[in-house]
Amino acid sequence: MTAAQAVNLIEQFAAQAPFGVFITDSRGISIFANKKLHEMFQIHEHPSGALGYDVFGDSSFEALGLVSLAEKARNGEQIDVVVDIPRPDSLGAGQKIGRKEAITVRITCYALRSSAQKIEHYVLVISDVTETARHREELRIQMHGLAIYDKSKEARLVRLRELEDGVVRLEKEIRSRGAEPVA
Amino acid sequence: MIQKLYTSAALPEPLDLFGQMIAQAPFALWMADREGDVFLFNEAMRSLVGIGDPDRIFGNYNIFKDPIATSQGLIPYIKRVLKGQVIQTVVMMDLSQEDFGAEGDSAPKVFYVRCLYFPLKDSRGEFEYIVTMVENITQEYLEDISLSRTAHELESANKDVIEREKRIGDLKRRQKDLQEQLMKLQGV
Repeated sequence: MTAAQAVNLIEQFAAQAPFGVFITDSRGISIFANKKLHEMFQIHEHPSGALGYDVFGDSSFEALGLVSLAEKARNGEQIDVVVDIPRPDSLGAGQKIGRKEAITVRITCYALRSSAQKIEHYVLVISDVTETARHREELRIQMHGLAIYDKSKEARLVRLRELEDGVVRLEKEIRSRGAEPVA
Repeated sequence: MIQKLYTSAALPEPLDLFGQMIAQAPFALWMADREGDVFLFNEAMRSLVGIGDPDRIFGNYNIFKDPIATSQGLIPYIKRVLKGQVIQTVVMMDLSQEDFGAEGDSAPKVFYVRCLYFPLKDSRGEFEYIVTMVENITQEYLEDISLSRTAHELESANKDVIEREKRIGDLKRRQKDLQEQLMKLQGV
C-alpha cells in the first residue's frame, strides 16, 4: 500500500459508503454529499444537487424538533439522533429533494477541528433506519398491549379467588342442609 | 486535539478533508486489502479495541484470521464483501481472545458490537478493499434482549390470562347452579 493509494482510498471511503455522507464548511453550508445521500433523498442533479444546502439555516428543523440539537452540533458537540422525517421534500427550502415518502434516519454529526481547535467543517453521517424503527415501534405497540393484559391478569386472579371461595361456601351450605352439591 | 489516522504507509501531512473526516470520526473503522491485511485504522478503533503499537496491526493482523470472527463463523460472510455485498452483523467481542498490545487498559473486555462491512473499489472499478466499521452497541443490545425477554414473558402471562378467563366462566356457571340448588333447599 503506497501513500497515494491510501489517500485515494480515504477519498473513496466517503464516495462509496453505503450510508449518506454530508460535509459542510465552517458555516454549515454543504460542500460534499455522496451518492448514497442523493439516492436516499432522491436529490436530482447528481452529483451536485445537495451542495450549497445550509444545514443550520433549515427552517423545517423547528417542526422536526431539531433546533436545540442543531445548535449543539453547531457548537461542536457530537450529535447522534434518530429523526422521523414525514416529508423529506419539505427539507431545506429551495433544495431539490424529490423524496416524498416518510423516512427515518439516524444522523451522526461531528465537527472537524483544526490544530487550533477551530471548527473547520461539520460531517453528517446519515443512515436510513426506517425499517428498524418500524420494527421497534411494532414491538413497543405489542409490548403496550401485552402490558395491559398483564395488568388485567392480577384483577382476574382476584376475581378467580372470589369465585372459588364463593363456590366453596355454597357447597358447604348445601352440605350443611344434608344434601350433596350438584355435579 | 486532532485525532490520528494510522496507516501502513506514511500519509502526506496535514491530512486532507476526507482524511480528517475518518481520523476525527466518532465511529471506529479499519480498512483491509483483498487478502485481509489491515492497512489503515482510526483513533476510534484504536480506542475501542485497545490497540497499543500500530505495528502490531500492520503486517500482523488479518481480518480473515480474526479469532472472534472465525469462532462465530463470520469469515465466509465477510469474504462476500469482495463480491460487492454490504454485510452487517452483531458480534460479541471478547477482547481476551485478541491481543492488540494495549497497555494498562481497564476497559471492559467483553462487549457487543455492530459490524458493518462494505467494499471499496479500486481505480479499475474492482472490489479490492474491505472497510469494517465497528460500533459498541452493548447498551442497545442488552435493552433489545431485555425487551424480547419481557415480550416473551408477557406472552406466556397472556396465555395464563386466557386459561383463567375460562376457569372464571366455569366457576360462574358452577356458582349459579349451586345458588339454584340452595334456593330449592331453602324452599324459595
